[in-house]
Amino acid sequence: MSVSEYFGGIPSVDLRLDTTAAGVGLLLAVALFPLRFYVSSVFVGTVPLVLGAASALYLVTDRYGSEHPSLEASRVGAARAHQLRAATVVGLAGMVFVTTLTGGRTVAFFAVAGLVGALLFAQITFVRREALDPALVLVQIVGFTLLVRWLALATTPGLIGIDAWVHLPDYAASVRGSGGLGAIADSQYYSAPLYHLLVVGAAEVFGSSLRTGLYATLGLVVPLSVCLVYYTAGQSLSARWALFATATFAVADHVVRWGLHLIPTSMGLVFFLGVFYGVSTVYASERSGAAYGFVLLFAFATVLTHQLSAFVVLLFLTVGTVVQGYLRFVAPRVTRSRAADVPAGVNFAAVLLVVAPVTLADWSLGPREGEAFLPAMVESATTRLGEAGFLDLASASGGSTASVASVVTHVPRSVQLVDTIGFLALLLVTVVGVFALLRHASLGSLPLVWIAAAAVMLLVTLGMPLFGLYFLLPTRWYAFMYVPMVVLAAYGMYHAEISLSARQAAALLVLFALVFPGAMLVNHSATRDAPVNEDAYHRFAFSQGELDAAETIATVHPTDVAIAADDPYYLLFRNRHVMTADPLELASDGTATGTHVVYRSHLATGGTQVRYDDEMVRAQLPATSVCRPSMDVVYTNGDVTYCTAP
Amino acid sequence: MTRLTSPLTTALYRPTAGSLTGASVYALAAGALLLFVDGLPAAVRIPLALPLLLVVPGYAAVTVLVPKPRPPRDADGTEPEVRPEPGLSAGERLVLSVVASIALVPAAVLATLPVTGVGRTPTLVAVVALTLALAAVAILRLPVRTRPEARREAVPAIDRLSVPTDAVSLVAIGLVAVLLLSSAGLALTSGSDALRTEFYVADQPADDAAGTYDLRVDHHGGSAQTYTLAVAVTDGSGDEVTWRALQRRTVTVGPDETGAASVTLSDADFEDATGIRLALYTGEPGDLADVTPHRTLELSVGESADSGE
Repeated sequence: MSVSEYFGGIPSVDLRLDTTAAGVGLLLAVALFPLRFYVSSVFVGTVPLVLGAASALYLVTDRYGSEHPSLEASRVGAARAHQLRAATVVGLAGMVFVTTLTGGRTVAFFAVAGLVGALLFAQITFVRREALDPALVLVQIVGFTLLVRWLALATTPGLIGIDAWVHLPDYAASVRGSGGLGAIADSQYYSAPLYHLLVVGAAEVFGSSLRTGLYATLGLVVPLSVCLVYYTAGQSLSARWALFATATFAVADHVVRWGLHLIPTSMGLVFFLGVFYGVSTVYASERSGAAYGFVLLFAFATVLTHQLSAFVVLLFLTVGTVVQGYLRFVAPRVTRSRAADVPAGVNFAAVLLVVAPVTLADWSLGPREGEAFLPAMVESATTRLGEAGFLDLASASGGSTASVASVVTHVPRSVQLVDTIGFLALLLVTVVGVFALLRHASLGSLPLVWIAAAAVMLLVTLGMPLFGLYFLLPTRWYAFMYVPMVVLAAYGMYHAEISLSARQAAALLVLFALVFPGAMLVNHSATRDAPVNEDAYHRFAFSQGELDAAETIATVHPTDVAIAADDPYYLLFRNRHVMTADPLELASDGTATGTHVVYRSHLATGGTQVRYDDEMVRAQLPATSVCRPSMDVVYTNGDVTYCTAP
Repeated sequence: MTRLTSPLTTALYRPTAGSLTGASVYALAAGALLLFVDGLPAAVRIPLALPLLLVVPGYAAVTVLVPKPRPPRDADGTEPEVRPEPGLSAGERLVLSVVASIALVPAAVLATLPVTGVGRTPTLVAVVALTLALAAVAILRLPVRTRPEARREAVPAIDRLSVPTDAVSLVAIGLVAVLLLSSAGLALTSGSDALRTEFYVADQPADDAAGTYDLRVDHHGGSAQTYTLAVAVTDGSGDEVTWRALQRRTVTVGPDETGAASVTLSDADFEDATGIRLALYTGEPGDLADVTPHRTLELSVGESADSGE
C-alpha cells in the first residue's frame, strides 16, 4: 500500500507505506539514541538500537531479499517431526524430574525448560506443512505452559507475589468469613469482586483452603487461556504462525508472571484475551452478533474483575474506534476514494459506547481509600501529570557514605542486559511484523488496530516512565501489550522467512528458538518465586521458615509499634498480618535503625531492598547491621531473627 | 493411526440437545452430590467440581452465542476468507467455555449474593441454575437439522494414536516413565529432615532483669522432639566476656506443637552480668560446652543507650 493512497501525498512520488514507516523508524532510532547519555535505563539504551536494527533489516531485505518461499523445501518431514515431539515430551518429564530433584525451579530447571521451549519452536518453525499437526503442538504448548507455572506453585510455600497476600488472606478470607462483600466495602474490589467470589466460591465447593481454590481454578485457566492467542491469530495467519504467536506468548516473561502471581490482574489478562479474540472474530465474520457477544461478555467480566485491566480494554476499544473512524471518515477524503470502499471492520465505537458507560459507572460507585474510585484516580493522575518532567526518572541515591556504599548493591549491567534480551527479541520481530503488515495492499482495519494498540501500550510501558509517570502501573501492561505484539511478531517472522534465503531464515529462526524461550523464562518477572540472579532481584516468595517466623512474630510484637524488615518481607507483615510495618531504614553508618527489626538470612545474599535517604536501595546486610549488638534477640528460627531495642 | 470421533469431541464440535442435556444432568448430579453428601474427600470433591465450575456453565453460554460448528476447511486446507456466521472448532469451544465459566460462575454468585450470601450451597445453586437456564436457551438456539443432514455432516476426526511400536516412541515412553516414576519416588521419600524450630521470648520482666522469662519452642516436624534449654549470663567484660551457666532444663515438644518453659532469675544471678543467653539444644547433650546450640536468644541486662534512632 502506498503512502499517497493512505495519506494523499504527492501523487508523483509513490512512496510505499512500509518502507516509509521503516525509514521513519530508522530516523526515530537515531533521534532516540542520544538519550542513553542522559539516562542509565537499560531500555533507553537498547530500544533505539532494536528499533533501528529492525527498520534497517526490513529495508535491506526489502531491497535485496527475494519474495519466494524457500525454507519450506528445507523443512523436516514426519519422521523428524516425530523425533522432535518425542524429545519435547521427554523434556517435559525432565522438567518435573529436575524440579523434584532440586526442590524447586532452579538454574537446572530453567536450562531444561529453555531447551524444551527451543524444541517447541523448532517443531513450529522447522516441520514441513503436511507433517505439522497443530493440535498436537498446541497440546504440547499448553502442557509446557502448565508445567512452567505449576511446578513453581507446587514447590513454593504460601503464595507467590506480594499482592496475593492481600487478596487471599485478607480480602477473600474476609468475604468467606462474613459471607458477603461488606467486609471489603472499603476496597476498590468491592465493585470488582469476581476474582474474590471465584476463589471463595471454589474453595467452598471444594471444601478446601482459599489457596487450593485459587490454584485449581485460575491456576489452571491462566495457562490454558494462551490457546486464545492461537485461535485469534489463526483467523488471519496459517496454523504455523498462529502456533508461533501462541508459543511466544506462552513463554513471555510477564505472561508467566501472572500465571505465578495469581491476582485479579491474571484474571483480567484472561478476559482481555477473550476481548481480543472476540474482536478478531467480529472482524473475520463481518460483524456477527455472536462474536460481539464474546466481546461484551469478556469486557463486562473485565470491568467486574480488575480496574486496570478494564482500563486496558477501554484503551484498546478507543484505539480501535480512532483507527476505524480515521479509515471511515478521514482516509477516504485524503485518498479521494469512496467511503464505501473501506471494509466495514469492527464497530469499535458501538462496543465502546456500551462498555465505557458501564465501566465508568462501576468506577464511580467503587471505593478507593474512602473516596469513589474514579475521582480518586483522576485526582491522582492529575497530580502526577503536574509533577512530570522529561527524563525525570527515579535515580539511585548518589550521596551515600562509604559505609552505606559498602552494603548497597546494584543490578549489574550485564544481568540487566540478559534480562532484557527476550523482550528486545520480541520487539525486533514485532517491528518487522508491523512493516510487513503495512506492505500489503489488502491491509484491513484490524491489523492497523493491533499496530496502534501495541504502539500505545509501548508508550505507556516504556514512554511514560521517561517522564516519571508510573501511576498507570506500566509493569502491569506488558502482558497485555504482548497480546497484539505476538501476533505482529508472527507476521514479522513469516515475512522474514519469505524474504530471506533459506539459510538466512533458518539461522534467524534457530537463533530465536534458542534464545527467546530461555531468555524470557529466566527474566526476573517470570521467576518471582526464585530469581535466577537472586543477588540482583527480589524473591517475591518466602520460605516456610520465613512464613512461620512472620506468623509467630506477629503474635509477640506489640501492636502500637511499627515493625521494620527488608522489602519485600515487611509487606508480608503489612499485608498478611495487617501490622504497621515499614522497610528497614539504613543510617549513614550502614546499620539499620528502628527499635523492632526483623533480619532474615536471605538479606546477606539476596536482592532485597531497604530505605536510605528516603529512597529504596538494594542492599546486602550482615546480621549485625540489622540486629545491632546492643539489641535483644527475642526470636529466632535460624532463618529469621527478631530483635528489639531494650 | 486411526481416526477418532469421541462423544466429547462431537459435543464440543457440534453441540446438540443431547450434549446440552448431558451437561445439565452432570451439573445437577454433581451439584447434588457436592451439596448433600458429606465427608467426600478432597480427591473426589475437586475432580467432581472442576467441570461444574470451569466448563459446563461456559459450554452452555458459548453455545448460546455460537451454536454452530466451524465450517470445515477447504480442500486445500485453507479456511474461507470470510465466515458469515462464526462457528467454533472443538478446541476453540472448550477454551472459550473455560474462560466464559470463570466469568459466569462468580457473576452468578454475585447476582445471588444479596439474597443468599457466599457459601457452598448458594454457589452450587447459583451455578447449577445458571447452567440449566443457559442450556435451555442454547437448545432453543440450536440449528434445526433433518436426520439425513445430521448424518451427512461428519464431525472432523482427530488422529487417535495407535500403540506406538517405533524405536523413537518406545525410547521416549521409557524415558518419560523413568523420569516420572523417579520424580514420584523422590517426592515420596524426600520429606525435609531439617528440623524447623522457632525459639522465642513470649514474655519477660518489664523493668528489671530479675523475674520470670516465658519462653516458647515451636516445633514443626512429624515426630516429637526433646530440647534442652540452657540459661547463662555474662561474666566479665570487654574482651574477657565468658558465660556463667545458671539453669538447664529439658522440654519435649510434640509434632507441630508449641512447648513452653519458664525461667525465673533473681538479682543474685545478675551480679556483674550485662547479658543473658538462652540457648536451645536438640536432645539432651551431656557437656553443653562441646555442642553448638540449635537456637540462641540474647538479651541485655540494664539500661541501654541504644534507642534505635
